[in-house]
Amino acid sequence: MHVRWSDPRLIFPLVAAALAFGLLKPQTLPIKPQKPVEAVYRFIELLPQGSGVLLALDFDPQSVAELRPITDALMRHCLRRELHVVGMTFNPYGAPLGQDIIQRVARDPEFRGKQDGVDYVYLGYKPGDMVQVITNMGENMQAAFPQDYGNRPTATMPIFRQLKSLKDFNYIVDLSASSTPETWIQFGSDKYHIPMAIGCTAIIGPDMYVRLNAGQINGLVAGLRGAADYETLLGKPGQAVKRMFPQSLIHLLIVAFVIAGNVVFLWMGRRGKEQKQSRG
Amino acid sequence: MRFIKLTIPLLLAFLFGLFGFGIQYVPAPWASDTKELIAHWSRIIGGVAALLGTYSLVHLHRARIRRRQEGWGYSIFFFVGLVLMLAAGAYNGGMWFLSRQVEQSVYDKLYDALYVSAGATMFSLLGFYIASAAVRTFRARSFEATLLLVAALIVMVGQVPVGNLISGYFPAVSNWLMGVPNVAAKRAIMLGVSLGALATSVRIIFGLERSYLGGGD
Repeated sequence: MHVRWSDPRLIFPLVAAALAFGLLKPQTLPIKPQKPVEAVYRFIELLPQGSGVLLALDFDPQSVAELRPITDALMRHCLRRELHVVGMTFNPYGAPLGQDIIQRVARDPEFRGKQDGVDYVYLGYKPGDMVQVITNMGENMQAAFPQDYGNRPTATMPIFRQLKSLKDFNYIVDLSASSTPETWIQFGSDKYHIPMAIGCTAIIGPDMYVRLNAGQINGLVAGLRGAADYETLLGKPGQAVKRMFPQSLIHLLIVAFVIAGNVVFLWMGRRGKEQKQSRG
Repeated sequence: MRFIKLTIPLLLAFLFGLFGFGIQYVPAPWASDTKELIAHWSRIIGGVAALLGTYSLVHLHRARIRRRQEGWGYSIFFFVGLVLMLAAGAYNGGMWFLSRQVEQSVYDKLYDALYVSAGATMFSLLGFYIASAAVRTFRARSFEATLLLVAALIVMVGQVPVGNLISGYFPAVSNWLMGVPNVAAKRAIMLGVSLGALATSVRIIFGLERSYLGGGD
């Protein structure tokens, strides 16, 4: 059996081995948080107690590995800072996920005393045109979401006494693996002058730099690295920090493969030229 | 027949296209009410489309099983999944579907144990394919390809903590690449796509673009 240098049968087992080694023999790498992540952390740190933060959890199970640690860290930070958190989603497949993440963090002994409907609430999925729903939220939160994810009426929830409409929120963070941040920027953040940040998968991270450089968002938490940066800033290393070692190993392995592949490519090219010249 | 299949859809696209565009510039309450009404319509149409989609999937997989086409066994899993999730959702932990959703019901358990795990696994497989694709495609074939190759290697090392351990230049250069050349290219692409979308919309409104009607016309 002839196996080429770039054959997946060679690359896949090596990637799997590096991943397994990284997970089974974890090492702690020093993490220097990136500036876009620091910007989100600092903004939340400076928000007055009781401010409203909207977490739009617009992702589904496919991107949970990257976006759960980001959501977890953000939620933890907000509750620690005594902010009011409202979660919701425009992704029908991810609706139960949001509930799970928010409830898990809120149940942490660190946040004993925090109450659902008072300090935080998860509204779940709202069907319909995203622009229209955001516009409705800008007029009246309780009219846009008459019930939360557990079908409890929002009309009697103390959290909405202060957060009557989207205009009353102090920060929007869209956690997404798709194009939802664009709509949130246009119809949520820009329209109602609410500062905004984005948490996203590493794949769409480069797209979001356009928004960051234009000042449309004030911070960006991209991929597992972003989550690890945020956990480091929080002083509570979690899953993302743990996974930085396997991720680093995989990146180094790919780099080594690419370099080796190019050395072979250049050497073969030179040898081919020499053979042609000797024939000529 | 031509009138129903071609003229009416073109007329509707023309009227709704112009109306949807024009109404954005009318600062009157009736305009915003009408926009909301159209949004409700589109939600209903979306619901009907979901039903049609389900019917189409059922039809496709039923035909595949009946004809014993290659991979027909996977179609059985489609029906198992469809029936199981529908039944679990309707049963709603014994409260049935008209009541409030019961937490930790069979539906939730199936969602967590099967859907979340399967979704995350599918996405994780991308890591393997990206590794394989990177090795095969990043070749210094030309000056431009070499530039791309070097930039990719710097970003790959700079984006993980180990890059900072090797040299502080890696994250610095990686951030510059992401913030300057990447943004310039992305902006150009976004502008191009937006102008293209605008041109296509105008073509659809005026009936010049008809591919959405099907039939290759």
